[in-house]
Amino acid sequence: MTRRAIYIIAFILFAALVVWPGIEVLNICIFGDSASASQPAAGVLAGLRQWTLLINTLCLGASVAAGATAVGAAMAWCATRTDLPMRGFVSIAWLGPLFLPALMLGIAWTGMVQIHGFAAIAGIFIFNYYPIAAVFTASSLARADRHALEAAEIAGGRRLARKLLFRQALPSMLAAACGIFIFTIADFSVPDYISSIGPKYNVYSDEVFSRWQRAGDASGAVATSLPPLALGLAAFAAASRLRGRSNCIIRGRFHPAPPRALGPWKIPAVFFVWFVLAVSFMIPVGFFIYTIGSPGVALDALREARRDILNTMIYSAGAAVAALAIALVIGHAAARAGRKTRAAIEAAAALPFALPAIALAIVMIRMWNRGGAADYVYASVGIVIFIMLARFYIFSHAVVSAGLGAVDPDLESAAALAGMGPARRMFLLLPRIAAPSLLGAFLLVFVLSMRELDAIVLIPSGNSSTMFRVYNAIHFNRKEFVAALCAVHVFLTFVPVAICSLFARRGIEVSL
Amino acid sequence: MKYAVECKQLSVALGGREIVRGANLNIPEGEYHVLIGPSGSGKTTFLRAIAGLERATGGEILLGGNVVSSANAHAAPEARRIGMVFQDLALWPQWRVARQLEEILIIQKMPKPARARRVSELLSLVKLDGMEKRAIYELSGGEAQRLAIARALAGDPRLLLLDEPLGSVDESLRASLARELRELQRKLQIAVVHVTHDQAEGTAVADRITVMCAGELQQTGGAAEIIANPATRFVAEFVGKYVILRGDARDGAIESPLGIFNNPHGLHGAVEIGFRPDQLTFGETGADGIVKSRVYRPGGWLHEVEAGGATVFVHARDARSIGAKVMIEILSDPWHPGGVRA
Repeated sequence: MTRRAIYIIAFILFAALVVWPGIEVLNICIFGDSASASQPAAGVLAGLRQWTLLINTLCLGASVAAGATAVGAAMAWCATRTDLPMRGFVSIAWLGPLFLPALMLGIAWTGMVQIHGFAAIAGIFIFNYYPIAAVFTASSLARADRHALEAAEIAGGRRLARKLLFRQALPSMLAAACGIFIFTIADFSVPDYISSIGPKYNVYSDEVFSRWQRAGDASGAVATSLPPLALGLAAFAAASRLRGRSNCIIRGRFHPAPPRALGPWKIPAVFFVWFVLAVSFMIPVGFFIYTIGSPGVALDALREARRDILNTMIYSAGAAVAALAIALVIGHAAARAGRKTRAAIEAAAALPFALPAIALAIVMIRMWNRGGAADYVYASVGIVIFIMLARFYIFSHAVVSAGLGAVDPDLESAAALAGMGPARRMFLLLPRIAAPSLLGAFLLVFVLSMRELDAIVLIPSGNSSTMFRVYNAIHFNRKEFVAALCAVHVFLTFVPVAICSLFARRGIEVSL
Repeated sequence: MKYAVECKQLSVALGGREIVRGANLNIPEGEYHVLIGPSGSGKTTFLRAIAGLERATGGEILLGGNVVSSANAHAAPEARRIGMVFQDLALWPQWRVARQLEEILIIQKMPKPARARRVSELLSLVKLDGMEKRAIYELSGGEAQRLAIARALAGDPRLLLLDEPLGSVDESLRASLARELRELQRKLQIAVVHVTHDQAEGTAVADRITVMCAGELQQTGGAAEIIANPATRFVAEFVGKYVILRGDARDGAIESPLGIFNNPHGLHGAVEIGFRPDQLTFGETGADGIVKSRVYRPGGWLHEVEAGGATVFVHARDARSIGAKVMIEILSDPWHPGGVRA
């Protein structure tokens, strides 16, 4: 197979499965839906209610982005720049909340204490999304050069050194904040659940869902998603610009900066770090285990939800593999292309992620629920794989293209001169060289797909999933069953990551 | 005499290993002092101890007559009024050219108009006028080097420490930058301690040189003095590029593969003697040898010659072919300071 043929096939798949849903949303928003009499976006967005909801969503997104970034950055600072006890463990343990979907964190805390309203929603998101900021900030702080800090200390003491470190971490922190903002404004399940047990706090995604559910107005629902899409894309553009601005050495050898002694701050720092770990992961998981009570309850839940669990694992792994296969070729093209081409590919890939997940699901239903051969996809787990692929492809793309960008092009030239064809180079040579990044990309999409509820809640074949079963069961007050399913879900999300971490000889890399 | 730096019996240990041992060194104000030694000899640690980046485990450091480091005192780096240029420059990539300097002046609470003037002055001093808005990665190697020097001078230091400052630039640029450094030091009349492992770089700029080996200061003096009269075998080989030969000392003479020489110190038995390449040349008489290799050096050719079972280096204006039979003439007496016993 020629190099051109590989690229053409990959770009067709990329366009059809990733870009097309995004384009379809824009099409509906701008021109309306020919299949129904609904108004285009301009008409839908004219109502005052839309703007109230938008302000609510903005407030929530901004508060969560600020709060989670502050918590994550403080955790990263403690674990990378200080002599905090067990800091190696802390920098692994803070990944815990990523295995625990925000909805499950909400279920656990509302089961333990009376929380409701805006503060509860924001708190749940903050403690669920802070690892994004922690990981971004930690990777930036770990690149702090000892000599650059010493130069600052000589010139202006610790104050200047701290300012330098903050300035170095700032782009990563802001990029993380933008990512957290997108996740927050796209989420409907947590505000919906918290509103169901206390005073309502409506967000924009709720409105998209309601418009679809109440009126069956697909195009209206999709058109309603235009403002969050614009916000999401703006945040993504900001995150892309900020990403990678935290390099620390211009030339010469890198000298890692040694950690600073916390001194009298050690006890408060230890308390803060363990408080965050406990609130965000340990206590909720402990609560689930306590609620289950006996192993029999867990086994019964497993038996009852066996198909859902299996289905969830299949579509998550399927989406991760499909994203990886496409990202290997498209990511390679992006890594070797100029800045503008790279930015264009990223923007196209980001479009479905920047959408509220509900809107993406509605568009996918319209695309695949049209009779004929498409029905086979719509009726099977294939549609869920396609939704997850569209929604999370950008993560696979970012990790793979960063990994392949670090591969010396001369290695490929040497292989070509040695007689290795384009297909062998692409699918045998590069995966071996960039294996840690490819593994990282697979796991990232797998974990995100396992967590996702909003995108599958409207899809019939997506209703057979652990997230949907949990979402459904909480409304029927099946506490033990929900707790058992949550615990199993966390465990099954964690196990592949743990296995890969243990057995991947060259480690896992998730540099974006 | 007023000293910019005084080190008295200075010792520094890192990770339980003594890197600098009992160093005594006085550097007068306004002197350009070069600390020279091979990699791992402890010169960077010595410099970092003066800067306050490493704690001395013994002895004292005085800067401008004030004790900054002793058994019970350790002044913070920023309190020592020093400037430092790191080997890899350690420029702050977060900030553009002018901001690198401005941040230091902000810490010093300099008012904004005065700050702008000072930044402009410093950039002009290092010939970076008009580059205020440049990002660090847009600078060439020489420009980055100059900016690092300007940053080190921004805090108005009384002492400038240069840790292999020319290590990251290519050879053609190194000579001109070394000259610029020297001119700058003369203009500012500031004491400089310049660390390098390059003998040519060190001898080109130094008022005085200190040679360091295995954590100990071996010799301090002018470049010519150190080359002509090295105090130890290490100094002879490292700075003077002497080739050391074995000799047999008898009452009035020392017998060596290159001939018989005077024995002014009255040594007996096996001794070592040394020759610099410029002490040897090819002639019509002298020890027989065979040319093994040759390399061009400005002013002539350096030949590696095997003679009497030993290898020596001979400097000659004209190149001899490899494998040619030559006769080695000695232009001056060999080095044997009190005789280094074999």
